[in-house]
Amino acid sequence: MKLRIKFKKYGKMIYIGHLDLLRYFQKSIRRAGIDIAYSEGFSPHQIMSFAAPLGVGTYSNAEYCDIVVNSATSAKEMIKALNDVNVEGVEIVNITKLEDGVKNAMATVANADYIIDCSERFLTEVDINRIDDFYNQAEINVFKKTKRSAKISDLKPMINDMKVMDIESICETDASGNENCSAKAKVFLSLKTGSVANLKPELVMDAFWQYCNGVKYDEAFLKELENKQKEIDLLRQKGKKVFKLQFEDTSPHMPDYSICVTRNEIYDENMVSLDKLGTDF
Amino acid sequence: MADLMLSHDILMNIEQPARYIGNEINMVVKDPNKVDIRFAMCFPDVYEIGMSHMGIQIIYEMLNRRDDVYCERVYSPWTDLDKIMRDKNIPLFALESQDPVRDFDFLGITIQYEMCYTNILQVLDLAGISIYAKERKLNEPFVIGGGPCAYNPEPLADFFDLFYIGEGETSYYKLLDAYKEWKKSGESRKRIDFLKAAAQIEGIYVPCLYDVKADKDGRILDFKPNCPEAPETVKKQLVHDMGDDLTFYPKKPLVSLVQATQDRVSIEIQRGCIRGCRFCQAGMIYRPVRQKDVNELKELAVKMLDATGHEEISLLSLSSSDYESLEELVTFLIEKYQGSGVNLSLPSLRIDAFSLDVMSKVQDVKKSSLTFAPEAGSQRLRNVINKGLTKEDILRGSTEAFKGGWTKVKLYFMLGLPTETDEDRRGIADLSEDVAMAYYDSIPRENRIGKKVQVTASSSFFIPKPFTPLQWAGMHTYDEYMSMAKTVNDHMKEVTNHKSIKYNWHDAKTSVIEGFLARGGRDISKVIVAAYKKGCIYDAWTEYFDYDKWIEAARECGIDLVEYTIRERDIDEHLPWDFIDIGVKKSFLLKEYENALNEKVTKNCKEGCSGCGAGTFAAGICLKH
Repeated sequence: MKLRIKFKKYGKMIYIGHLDLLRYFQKSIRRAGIDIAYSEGFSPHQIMSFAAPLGVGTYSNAEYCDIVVNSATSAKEMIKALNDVNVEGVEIVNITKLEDGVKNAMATVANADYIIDCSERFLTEVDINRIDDFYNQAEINVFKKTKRSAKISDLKPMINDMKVMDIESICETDASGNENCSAKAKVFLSLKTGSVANLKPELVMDAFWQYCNGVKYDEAFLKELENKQKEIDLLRQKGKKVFKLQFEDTSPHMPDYSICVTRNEIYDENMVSLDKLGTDF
Repeated sequence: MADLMLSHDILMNIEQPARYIGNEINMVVKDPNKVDIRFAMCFPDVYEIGMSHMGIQIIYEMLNRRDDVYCERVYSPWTDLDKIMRDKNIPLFALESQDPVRDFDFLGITIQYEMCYTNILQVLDLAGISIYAKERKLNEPFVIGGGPCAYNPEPLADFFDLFYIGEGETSYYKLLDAYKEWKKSGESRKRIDFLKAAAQIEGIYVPCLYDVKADKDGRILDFKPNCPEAPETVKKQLVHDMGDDLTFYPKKPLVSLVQATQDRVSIEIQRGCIRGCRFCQAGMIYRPVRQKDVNELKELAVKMLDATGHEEISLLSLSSSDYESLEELVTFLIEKYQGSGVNLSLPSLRIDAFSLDVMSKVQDVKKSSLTFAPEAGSQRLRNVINKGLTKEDILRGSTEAFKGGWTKVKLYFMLGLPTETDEDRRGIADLSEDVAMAYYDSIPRENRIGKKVQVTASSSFFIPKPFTPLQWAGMHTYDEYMSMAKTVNDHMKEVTNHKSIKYNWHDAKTSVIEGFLARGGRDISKVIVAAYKKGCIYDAWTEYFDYDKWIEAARECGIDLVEYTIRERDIDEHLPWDFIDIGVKKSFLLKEYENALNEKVTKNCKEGCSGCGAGTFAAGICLKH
């Protein structure tokens, strides 16, 4: 029987990376007494797969893990059994049954919603009201550097939607009667996610920050980049291993950790959330 | 849940932030305000190493069973966080409550190996606790050390208020009760009052209550208590009754959120060892051997697996093949858990029909290797160290294994043993060659297709340890050790089947420093401080160990480290650890040293009693004689 587990990740558990989360789940399932199926062979492992890895430091209201079980009671009982053995920071929200033929989570993921909490620091360095202008550009170009290459990438096709959700000004009066106001804002992002196309929310917010701070990837930069890339391709053709692209990205970026990311939901290519692809039991 | 001490920015900027957040499965949560004693238990190495250690788990369980005590854990911050903590003045904190360790009543540090000594100073330093015990103020924690290195506590004596010598289960409750009494005695109380009360509890050693004089080579000239409360000798502690409740073995052990080095359930099946190998400290200090009841172990295994969700279980003991109910226990575990994804990890067992049968059930024969530990390359030298394994045993076992489908064999050796010659060293290559040859002799050509035998020999350098028969032996210089390894390596290349044999040897520089610390006295504590101040830390890690800094640190303190280390101890000299009574008598160790030099073998405890002195405890196997 194939089951899909939906869970939240928050609190201290945001510091646990994907592989450790996998191991954590394997142990939780055993502690909860779930009758999970094991693979054949000499080192049998639990038949389990996750939808999409969540980076360290990111919160989530909707993560998914598919498992194969030999038998199951009810979703309600299983959710309770797992939550009884969970530590603070992981909470099972729902379990649905997958009919035969439903693709596994990893193959299904195509889009995801994110909610970005912008810190005060971030808000002083951008104009949050320009989000729409930023999003409405024909192209949203960023400099993307990987181990093997560096290029200008257009993020626009991978952004489904982007808008400001909330802007708040929180004012407190301190002991001497002075009013201190701090700004808070939430930005909503819907992005392509998964093995085919994957866009990280941090990259989008960084692009927005650069947009507000006048960072442009101009002709000269593009030319130099093209030349560097040609150099590398030539070396590769000659059979030389090029591991590090010697290209300094000296352009400014948003300060580290000035935003807090929560993944809010994961969808398939038709924008159906992963838990709606299963049935209740 | 306690708020984190480290900010999000810091956690996102360091390796493995999960090392510092606590929140593990089965972590104990108490209200610190509702207890009388706050105890911080420390393993002075990085989190993943510390979380693999069963000793802390036992103490954690034992102390937390008391309602008036909250025991939390602290580990050495990794080098990246260490720097940040110093830059930003962040005090070392315990994981459960995230509170600064300096606010605790006790800081307990388990001392498992000598190469962590500089990390001990790091822990005190980052905690904001005075490094020198004599400088500690009234409200600073009492720093207590335990574990195998506490059997020669002298190099660390200046940094610790107390040492606990022996097995932790017996005297801790008495110590904590004495502490509560002392706390009640009001504002005018002094630290020394508690220390004097503690010194009267069996197994507790309070260094400041003893005066020591040594000569420049480290020979003790005088060692005596300076007050009536301190006993002349400190008697090691030993658990007599291995019954489950009394040994506080955790049924719900902590499970790390990141992968610990030992990521599995560990069951201690017995304590102590019958073998009496002359180089082995554990074999002597944990005498006499005491077995645990097999039915209690079966129950414990099931409970621990249920409470953790681990997928692997391993059996801990110094020599598991000697556990009388091993077959019953292993059969139970295999039958219960086969097919349900729980792997049984077996320690190096004696290779015989039983163990091969068991191993073929739990391991992929094609991928795993069989291990033998001959320790020496010739029977003569094996007799010197009293390691009973013969060439016939090894070849018979290897042949059985090869027939059973194994193709990989590991052999462990030591170099630098007393009376060792080049012939003994070449014997390592010869023995490896014999094992490889046994493969070709036992497996006919047609069955060998695609399968080659791989024999891996590896050698470490012998370090004389306190309370062993070889504790007087001399050591060698780095160059001499490397030349020994070269002798072996050269001969390895000459033997017929050299292509089937791989030879590795440990770095000798670490061995020299380890030897220096193992047999040192209080006179070398300043060297440890000097090395730490030079930046020595994580000395057990090859990427951080710096031999030259240690040599220089010693020189600045007026000590020639190498001379101090390699010196053969006189059989009549007063050794820094002589004040500890481990049951086994010094006269027995001396007799065994003589036996070693005469290549005479001593029978093991099962074969007959040799009158070592551990019988005074009237426990375990001694009761059978």
